[in-house]
Amino acid sequence: MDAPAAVTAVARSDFFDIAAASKLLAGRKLSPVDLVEHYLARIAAVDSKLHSYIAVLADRALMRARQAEREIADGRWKGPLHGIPFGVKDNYHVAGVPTTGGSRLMLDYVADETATIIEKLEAQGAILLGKMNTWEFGTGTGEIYDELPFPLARNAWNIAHFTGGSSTGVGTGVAAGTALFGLGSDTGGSIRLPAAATGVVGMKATYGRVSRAGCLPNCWSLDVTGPLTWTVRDSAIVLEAISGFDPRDPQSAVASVPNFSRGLGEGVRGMTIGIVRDFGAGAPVLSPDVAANLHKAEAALRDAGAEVVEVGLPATLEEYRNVTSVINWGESFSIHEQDFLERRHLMGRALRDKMTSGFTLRAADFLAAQRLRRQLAVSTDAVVRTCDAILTPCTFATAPTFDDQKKLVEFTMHAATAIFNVTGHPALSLPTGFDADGLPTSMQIAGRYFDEATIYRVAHVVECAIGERGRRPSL
Amino acid sequence: MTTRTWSREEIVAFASLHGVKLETDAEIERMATLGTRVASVAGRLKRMPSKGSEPASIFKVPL
Repeated sequence: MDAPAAVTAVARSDFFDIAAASKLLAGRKLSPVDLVEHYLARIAAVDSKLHSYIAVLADRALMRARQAEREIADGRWKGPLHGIPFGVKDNYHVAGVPTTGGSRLMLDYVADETATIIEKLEAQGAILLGKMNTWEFGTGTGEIYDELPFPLARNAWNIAHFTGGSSTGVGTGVAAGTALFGLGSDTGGSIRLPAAATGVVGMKATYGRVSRAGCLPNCWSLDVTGPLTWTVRDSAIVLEAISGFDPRDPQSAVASVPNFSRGLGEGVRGMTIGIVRDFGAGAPVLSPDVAANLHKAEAALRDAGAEVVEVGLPATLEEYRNVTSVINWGESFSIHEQDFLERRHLMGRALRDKMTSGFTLRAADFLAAQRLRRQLAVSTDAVVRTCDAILTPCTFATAPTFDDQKKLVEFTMHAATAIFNVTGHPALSLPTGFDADGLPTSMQIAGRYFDEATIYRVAHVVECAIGERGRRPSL
Repeated sequence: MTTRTWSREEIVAFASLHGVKLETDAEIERMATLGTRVASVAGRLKRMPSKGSEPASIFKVPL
């Protein structure tokens, strides 16, 4: 393929976004092979300090890139993801490739199936680069310990700082340019927390919107799979590609999939946007930089013609979190019971603690959490439906350093993410700027069931007003 | 709701009853601590006043 402009583009920058790369690929100004080689070189250059990947599938990726190059050259362009390199958290199965789940329990496991949403992406021409770092089976409180088989992923903005979890490699990889986008999974915040820590866009769609088939379960009734991307538009592109009913997933929803990108740019004039300021007794205090940037986002929405009104949630943050904890202890113990009984010595501390918690949990308490969950979902939905979208902080502070265990746990456990795992509403983590130390700040935008499109419209207005997407980490 | 505190002896007996042999003092201590925390968190969950309030179900038909 004749691609002088592409070579120049690759040489000029370590970074792309999907929308820009896709235009070059579709116009045959960028070769998929050059693009994949660029990402492999980027991984080789920076991942020894970042640890965003557990395994890089270079040969497989280059083979797929050559195939994409032939297809595009033959006029068979498949759409905006054709030739786009991506990574997945290592809890997604790919047939013939090891899945570790970040666990010593699975070091010898080779998958015999491929996750539905990876199949969808590959059918649309996206190119899998590798398996990205994760906490063990998506489990952790933020606390750091050294019993896991892979090195800790580190934050691209400052490698002394936390990446957020549990999709630890995905956020930092997208920020650092070791993947153009990534797939994570979110049980209590595991897409949105790494997105918040590393300054990328993380979407937890409505429960059931995106198939979980072929992704290791953490907690069946809370797990959601989804994308981490550099921009809102990229998130819309990927979510549209991976959404839709899947008979392989028992909780998959029958819901139409709109063109999520179409509404971007339509603005928020006339919208009513709720903002939650009070999270009840025991909620953490918002750090000044996170608060100031949230305030700027709020002002940007007002300037764009939205009415921003304060709304209250029907329960405290702690109540939502307690519901997710109890449900997660119970379901996760059911998933890993045999391993807990027979080889818990191979588990890292966070997983072993969660299993121990599930082991002592009473059935009546588990069901009390599920009964309360239904009530909270109904009462929260009544609030959400009074607005077009709801704003909250995502995390209450920026990513702490690895040596501050207390702040690591607070960052993880005191975030506003679990609310929308309990209720199943869609929620997106959006970068809002930086703190005084150059670490990303974030906010969360939630919406009505299956109305991710409105979340994207709101997020796009904030993203454009803040205008920080040109700033990338220097590694 | 009242919440319970697990003693070392109780947690060892409970674990043994359910097929888990706790090997070390640290393991016993950790399970007692976590079991007490679980009981505390679960005890703070608001109970539904109506016996008809169903759980958020993960079962629906057709399968």
